[in-house]
Amino acid sequence: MSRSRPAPDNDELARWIARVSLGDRRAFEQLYRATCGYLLAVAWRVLQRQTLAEEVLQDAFVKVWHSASAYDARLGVPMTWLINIVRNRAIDVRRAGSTGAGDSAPGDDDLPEVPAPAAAGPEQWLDASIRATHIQACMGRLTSQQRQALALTYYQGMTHAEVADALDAPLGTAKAWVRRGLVYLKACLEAGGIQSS
Amino acid sequence: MNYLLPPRLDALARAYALGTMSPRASRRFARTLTESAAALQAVVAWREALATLERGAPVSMAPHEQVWIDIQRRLFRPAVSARALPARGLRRRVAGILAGVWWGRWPTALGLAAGALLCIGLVQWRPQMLDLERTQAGPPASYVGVLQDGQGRPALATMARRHGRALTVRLLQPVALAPDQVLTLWAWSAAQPIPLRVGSWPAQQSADLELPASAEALLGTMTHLGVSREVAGPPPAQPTAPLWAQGPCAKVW
Repeated sequence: MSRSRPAPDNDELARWIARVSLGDRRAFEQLYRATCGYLLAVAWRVLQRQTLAEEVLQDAFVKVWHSASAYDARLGVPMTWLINIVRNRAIDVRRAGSTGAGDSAPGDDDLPEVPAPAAAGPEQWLDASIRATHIQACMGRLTSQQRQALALTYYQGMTHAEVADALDAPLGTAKAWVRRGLVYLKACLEAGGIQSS
Repeated sequence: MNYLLPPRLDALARAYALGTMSPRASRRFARTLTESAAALQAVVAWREALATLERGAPVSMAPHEQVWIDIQRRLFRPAVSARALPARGLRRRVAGILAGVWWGRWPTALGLAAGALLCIGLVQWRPQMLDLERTQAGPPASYVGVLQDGQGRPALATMARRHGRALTVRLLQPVALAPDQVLTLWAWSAAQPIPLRVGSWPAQQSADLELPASAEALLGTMTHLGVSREVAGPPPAQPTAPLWAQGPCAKVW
């Protein structure tokens, strides 16, 4: 897995989504080809297994086909809309309890498919995102636990209880860490005049 | 509970966007989003903030091609399965004729017949290639063409819905163009032998040409389509270069 591919252009995505809402199958394939690698990574981070992540990707694009007409550009850029569909579905699958994601080793059928993320993990992804957004100084005021809690909830879709278990902290403390991390994130973005697109 | 008090709304929107809400609370709040613009805006703001966390996350993974095949199967299977089976014999016939044309054993005139058969074959065998396949029904009424080059090889496919205002072109083989050239599509018939310009596009594999009127109005009386290389800029009234490819313009309905 790498960061070699840039995020797809949102204007192009918006055009394809508009055409998908009219039943244009070629635009649907263009949308899929342009975003599938990116969105698969979103699902994989939550589920940690490529087979399950691919099932989520499939579910998500079936939903995109049926709900493209509901997309409204005033309510966010297309990539955010797509990420939300995939991430929400991945979180649903994770919490359905049938995946074992994060709880057990992947099955044999998954072993060749799982990319080697080297030493990278949620905290490293959070740090890299903060650097890419140029809000290091502002976010630097967060404690290590607050950063960990934010990273685990966002990238792996953990519940507060799971974060509490993972960080060996009381539930109330874990909730406060997540809340503090998010509040700082939003405040730092607003202070920097930074938008997601 | 009044969800719309600002501090409470922000906290709920944050939890909803992050995905830490319980499923029941999430469903309840989702209903609120349909009724309150303020709630929706609060969620959007949080989603946009969270989306910045994608900037440092891994972004490049390759799903297996089967994922796309399965998506198509789930969405479009009724149309695929109903049409694919009876087309097998036809596909063999089309392939046989094309092989004959390819090796020069058939008279050139039969190239047009092969083109027409290929049209039908494409519609039945690979309707998605021409964007003809729909979720619930068979192919929509369309004007379809498969144009062949001077050696009788399929060079270009075209499709326009009967009452649509766009015509899709897709190259079936590479074409050499100078930097200042475009491809131009023409239509004509015995009754109207002076070619009518349909549209131009650069040498992309596929393009959607906007039609000045419906395909029915433009192509209803046409029997042939052809493509020439033209200099980009003001379009000529008639082809200024030999046709690179041509073929019948078929009505599919």
